Amino acid sequence: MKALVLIGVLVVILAIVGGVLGGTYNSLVKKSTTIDAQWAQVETQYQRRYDLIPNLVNSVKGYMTQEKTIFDNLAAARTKYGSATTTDEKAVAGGELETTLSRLLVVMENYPVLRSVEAITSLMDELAGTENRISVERGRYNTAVRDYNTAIKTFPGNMMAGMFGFTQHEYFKSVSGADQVPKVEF
Amino acid sequence: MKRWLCAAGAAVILAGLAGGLVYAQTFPPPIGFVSDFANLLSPQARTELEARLSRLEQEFTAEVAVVTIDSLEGDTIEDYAVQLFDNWGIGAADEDNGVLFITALTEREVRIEVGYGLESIITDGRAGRILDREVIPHFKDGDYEAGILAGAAAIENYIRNGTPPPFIEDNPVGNVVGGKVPMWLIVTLGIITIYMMGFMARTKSIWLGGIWGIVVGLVLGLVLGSLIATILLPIGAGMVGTLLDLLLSRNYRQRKSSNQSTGWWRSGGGFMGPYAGGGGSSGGFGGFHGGSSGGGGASRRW
Repeated sequence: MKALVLIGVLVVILAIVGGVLGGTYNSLVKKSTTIDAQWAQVETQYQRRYDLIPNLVNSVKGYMTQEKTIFDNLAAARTKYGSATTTDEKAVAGGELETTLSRLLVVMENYPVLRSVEAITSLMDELAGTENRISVERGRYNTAVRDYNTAIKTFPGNMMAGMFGFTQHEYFKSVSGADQVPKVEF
Repeated sequence: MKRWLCAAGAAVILAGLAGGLVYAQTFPPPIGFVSDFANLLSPQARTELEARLSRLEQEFTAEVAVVTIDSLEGDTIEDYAVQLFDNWGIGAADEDNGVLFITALTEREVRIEVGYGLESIITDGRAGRILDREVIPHFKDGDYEAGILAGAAAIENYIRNGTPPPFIEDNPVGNVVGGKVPMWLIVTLGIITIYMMGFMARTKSIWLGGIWGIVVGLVLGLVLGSLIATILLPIGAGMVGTLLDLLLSRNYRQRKSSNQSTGWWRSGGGFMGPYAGGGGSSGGFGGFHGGSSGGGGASRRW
């Protein structure tokens, strides 16, 4: 009789522990998937920017004949992003593209005539919108990473993480210089 | 044990740090489709705009929130807009078809933030053009009301013209009758209803009325061509039908037991079932529905 009770208690405890661990594992997988999905959102916006740049460059080049270096840098950064394959490479190249592009956008402020061309205004809106989308999706990516990293460092997630090899995800850090306003030389 | 404590401590610190990075903000709840916190609109304009946006939501499920605030309190308008958008959940959750048209008075900044689902219709370029053409000229003259009304009208226009046809337009029933409830249909349904009331009264059960109500509601909803009507009309009409049947059955039994005539004594109620359900699809602001945006749209200063 006593043995039966003991076995019963053990079974119940095992069931509870198993349930908790299973639930934790599933939630870790879910959080990890969320991070991947969120990164895909960031890359979608990167791609959008990548596609928009040639349009912008072609429509403003004629007005900005003195800014050859900017266009060259932009083209180089764009090519680099285009050939990036891994997530890390894309993150770095995307950051560089952002720096050169924001430089162009700042310099464009010096050409008031561009503002009066509706096609260019629209393009700039699209690009500004894309930049804003990128920062929004990146912020959400970091939130997802924080959620996950916290989960694998706290109990009971830390046990599951150790057993099944869940490792920390990196936060998205802006490329050095990307947060500084580009200098404009005349 | 020590390592556990360390890990837990590190996690808490990390969570605290990360939490500190996110700009924590509280937002007032929405007043309606129009939330004029900065009092830039006259009462008539507010009511009129609210009614228009409410109609737009009923017809297209797209939710346009017009918001004015005194100050962004140090935030950028882009950041404020995306957070407010998420906080309120403007647009239907599965379609993300919301638009936030927000004006910050102190910073003299205005933004149209577009939900994911409408990005293909109100592109960033279009959003910028709306602001340039319709809004900013009025704002520069200090006429905020005119700017807001014109901007909202332009947004509404894009949604009305650009929305893929509501699902019913591809629907054979809708095609046959052209989107309006024709007279013959009402008469036919009415006659059948009156005829069926006889059965409803004689049967003890009350489900016949309910089912007939649902059928009528469904037909009318499909013909009207809106998803909301198709869902709400059957529910409303079904309930009314059930009630009607309950009433009829009870009356019948009472009359029968007191040996009164059980002939056509309630034909005037014949149209009740199909009509009463219509009330369900009208009505004003019922809260936003969980849509989200990802930073699309355009901003301007004036």
